[in-house]
Amino acid sequence: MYGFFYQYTALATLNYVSVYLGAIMYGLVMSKFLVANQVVKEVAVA
Amino acid sequence: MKLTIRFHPLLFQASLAAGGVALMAFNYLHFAIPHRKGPITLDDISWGIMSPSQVALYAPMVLVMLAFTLLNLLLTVYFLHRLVKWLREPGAYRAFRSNAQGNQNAGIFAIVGSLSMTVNVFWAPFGFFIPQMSRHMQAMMLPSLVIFGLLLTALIFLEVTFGRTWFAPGIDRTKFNFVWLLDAFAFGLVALTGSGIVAMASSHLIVDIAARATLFTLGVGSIILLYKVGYLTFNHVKAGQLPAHPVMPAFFLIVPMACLFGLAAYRIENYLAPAAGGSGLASTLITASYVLAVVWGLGAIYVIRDYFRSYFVKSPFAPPQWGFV
Repeated sequence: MYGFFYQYTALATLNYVSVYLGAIMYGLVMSKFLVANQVVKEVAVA
Repeated sequence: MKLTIRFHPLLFQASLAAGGVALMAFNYLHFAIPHRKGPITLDDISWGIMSPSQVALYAPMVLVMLAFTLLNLLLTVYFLHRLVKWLREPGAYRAFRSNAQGNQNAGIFAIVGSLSMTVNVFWAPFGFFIPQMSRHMQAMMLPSLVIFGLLLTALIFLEVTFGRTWFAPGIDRTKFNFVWLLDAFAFGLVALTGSGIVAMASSHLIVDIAARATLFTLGVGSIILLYKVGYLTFNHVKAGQLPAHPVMPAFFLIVPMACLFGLAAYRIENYLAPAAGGSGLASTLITASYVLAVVWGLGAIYVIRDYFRSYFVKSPFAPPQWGFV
């Protein structure tokens, strides 16, 4: 596995970058989700 | 924070996506840092002898993995609690199942997909932080095989049950979108779980059972994936227009699926390699799957570029947005 994966530095870079991109996108989508949840909560209270 | 949003199986996409980020971080550390045999653990990283640049490279990765591992596990427990309550609501599951227009009921597969992901998170990122657990991995192989069997059984049951609704009279399948691929995604995740057992277990019996079941999962999943991708692509091209904004991110589902099917096939081919004479097919399979993932990802960004430019940032939440992660 080592030889296979890391003879391709590009794959390693892709893997590294994708972790942070994934984390950023997760934060964005989760914040939208929490806003939607807040709207539902306010509607329920009203 | 208490969630007020009504339960929907697609909520499990949040835990699934968190598991995906944790697993990607683990994958990087596992292959980038030399370590003892087996999955890398925190004990394997000698921070003291690393250069500052190496510490700067790996330490944030470990923190990201910790955060998303905890997120995956906590959300899974919470959503399972909500799922049980939902299943107890009279008629809730039946109403959801029968709502096949626009493949709205395909979200049920997010549950199986997320639970499969959690098994992988438990083995890898969670084991990273609890080295004792990682050192006793063999003791977990039989329970893992049982869980894999349960997930596969649930998946087949749901595929048959929900498959009937999609092909029932009166259902307009030309209105289906890429969210319909969630079942193939779940097949990929269950295959990843099975192939993980094949790669890790030392018991020949466990490996043999897991390999056969994984081959079956991969075979069925591939047929479903090819059929659906072909059908949906044909329909989208024929319609000559993109789907509505909220479902556009579902185009990205192909990216993780390509990697999942490729990695699972790679592990199975490695298991079969002695019989096949080591053809190098394994390397070709995984390289092809990663190339497909990159090409499809770039193609999807190009096709829905206007969505990113003028819609996404200010858009309200839509479950397919988890597809980006």
